[in-house]
Amino acid sequence: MKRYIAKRLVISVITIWALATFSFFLLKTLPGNPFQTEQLLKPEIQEKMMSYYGLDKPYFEQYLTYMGNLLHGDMGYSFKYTNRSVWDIIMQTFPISADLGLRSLAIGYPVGLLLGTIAARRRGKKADYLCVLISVLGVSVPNFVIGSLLQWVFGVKTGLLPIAQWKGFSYSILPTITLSIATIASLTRTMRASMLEVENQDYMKTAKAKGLGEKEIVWRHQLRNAMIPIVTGLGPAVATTLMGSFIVEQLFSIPGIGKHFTESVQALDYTMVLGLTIFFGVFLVAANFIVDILYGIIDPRIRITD
Amino acid sequence: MSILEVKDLRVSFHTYAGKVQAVRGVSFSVDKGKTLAIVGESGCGKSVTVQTIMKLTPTPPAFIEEGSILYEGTDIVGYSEKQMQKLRGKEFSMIFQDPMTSLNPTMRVGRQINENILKHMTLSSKEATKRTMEMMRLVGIANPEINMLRYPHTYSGGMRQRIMIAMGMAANPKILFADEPTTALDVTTQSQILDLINDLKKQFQMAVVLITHNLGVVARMADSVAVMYAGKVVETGTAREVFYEPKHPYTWGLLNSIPDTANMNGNRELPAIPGTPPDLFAPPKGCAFAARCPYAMKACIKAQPEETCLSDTHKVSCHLLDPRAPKVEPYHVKRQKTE
Ligand SMILES: Nc1ncnc2c1ncn2[C@@H]1O[C@H](COP(=O)(O)OP(=O)(O)O)[C@@H](O)[C@H]1O
Ligand code: SF4
Ligand SMILES: [Mg+2]
Repeated sequence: MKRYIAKRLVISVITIWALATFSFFLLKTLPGNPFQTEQLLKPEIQEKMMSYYGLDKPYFEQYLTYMGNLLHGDMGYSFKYTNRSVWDIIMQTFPISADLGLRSLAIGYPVGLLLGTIAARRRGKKADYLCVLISVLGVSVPNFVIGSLLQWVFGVKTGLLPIAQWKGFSYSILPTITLSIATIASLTRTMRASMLEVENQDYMKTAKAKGLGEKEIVWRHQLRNAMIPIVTGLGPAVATTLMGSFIVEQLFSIPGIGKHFTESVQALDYTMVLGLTIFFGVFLVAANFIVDILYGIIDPRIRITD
Repeated sequence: MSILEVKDLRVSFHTYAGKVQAVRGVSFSVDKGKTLAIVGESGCGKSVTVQTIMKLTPTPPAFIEEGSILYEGTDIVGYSEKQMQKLRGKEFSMIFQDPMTSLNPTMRVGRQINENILKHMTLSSKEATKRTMEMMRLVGIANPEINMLRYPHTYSGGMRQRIMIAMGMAANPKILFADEPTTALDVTTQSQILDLINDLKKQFQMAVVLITHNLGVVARMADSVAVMYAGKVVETGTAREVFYEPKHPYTWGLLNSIPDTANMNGNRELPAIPGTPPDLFAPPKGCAFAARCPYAMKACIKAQPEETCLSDTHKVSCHLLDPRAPKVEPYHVKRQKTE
């Protein structure tokens, strides 16, 4: 186990380094500079700014500087939000996105698993068609349509819930539901397929041949095996959800990290984009690592023994 | 005395493409504490027959169209799912063909055996665990204290089949159905597993219904034999009758192609008889074997042969047994002395 963790750590560091390097040079291939867009600065001033920030130096030199700072935990300052460090911005916006993400997962996972299980148990019946319909709609109708609809019904028409900003529980309800729809939809589909797949396994027949009742078979034998593919997808799903959704945050004016990600790319805010990319990378790698360990708990065949 | 009697059982699968008549009138009986072997080519309905007895095939698509299944004299065809649950695992147990896939991969083997005990015996969980360990020892797994905590994937195929047997035997069933229990195992392991089943059968006075492809296994294990073809039993009798006085051309075909060097413990698949079995969506009006039978007559194509009783136990369905039929020589059947 120790060896395994050590190995994984080394691989993780290499992954993050490759990600940082690749993103760094990829960003440089984008046309324009961070000072072009904002207030239509004169070209001379733009050049001055470029040299002030060291952006006129050779790319490789810039890269070495950036990586050197990164090693000290310094991700630099944002170009767009002057005087604010990238780390500051992450620390201010990430908790909001993570909060929203966790809420939506806390709803999306149980509901999705439940609907998927019901659909599989009632295959070919009305309940199944209803669950499949929900999941198809949830996957195919875009976030902003669902979000706008909810805003219109609960905010504009009935005035029951606030439709923008992030100031308390009631503010979180609509964005949470909007964000959880996609999770519910995809989990319903995955869980349904997985339950049906397990149903055809030989060991399900063994369980029946023992004289177990339907409930015992489902709870003891089917569910746990059906959860395996769900757990596999947990890492990336959690990571992406916690990192915030640009669309939902934009729609509900939530000052989360997802909004900054897209804005910083548009503004060519190099340090911001890189910082967020690396932060996301670390997060994803960590989430996958935790899931791999969890995976072994649910599926003894791949439990890590080394 | 027969503990299980199947009479004229018909089972169909209702599929989108039509009705598959998988079992088309099967009758046999199993005596208390004896072994019945069911032999026949792949797809002839052996598994469907035994799984129907335990009602393991889901309805739909499988439907019992006709027939009766008498367990200790009571017809269980109309039993509800609840009533069947009381029989499964307690009165009947089943061991499947592939031990690699028939155990739950995410549950410790001890718990899988234990589950059966707790379900059917009134024991405390402590006593049940004790019995689990006893059962593991009984099937030849040492150190059950440790080994019951292992997961199936840490065991070999043969050991997993032993665990399946321990599980099946856990509540002292009266009949053990073994559906090709050794087909997926290597020869040495096969032999050990068969010996184990035989020992347990004797020790616990349990009837065994053994499905197999391997005539060597039949000779070694069976008290009686049912030969199936295209969803019907074409010949049934004691092992002696079927091996030494076979009367059905299909049985001749099976026996005939045992290789010369046969030693009855070897691993031999049923020989290939030229031709293929009929389509069970639309089985022929006459004898289903007619297209492949060297003795086929006009009558064979017109009508299904009736069952002829040659003794209390020996029954054959073939037009050749009609007094008007020509007397034919069975094609050369090589017989081997068997114990
Ligand atoms: N679920 C099913 N749906 C349709 N047909 C089936 C199904 N299961 C079995 N059958 C048909 O029943 C026939 C008998 O199958 P089976 O009893 O498994 O044969 P075997 O003698 O090899 O055990 C086969 O021809 C097969 O096509
Ligand atoms: S009934 Fe006719 S076709 Fe069928 S096995 Fe007998 S002789 Fe052959
Ligand atoms: Mg079979």
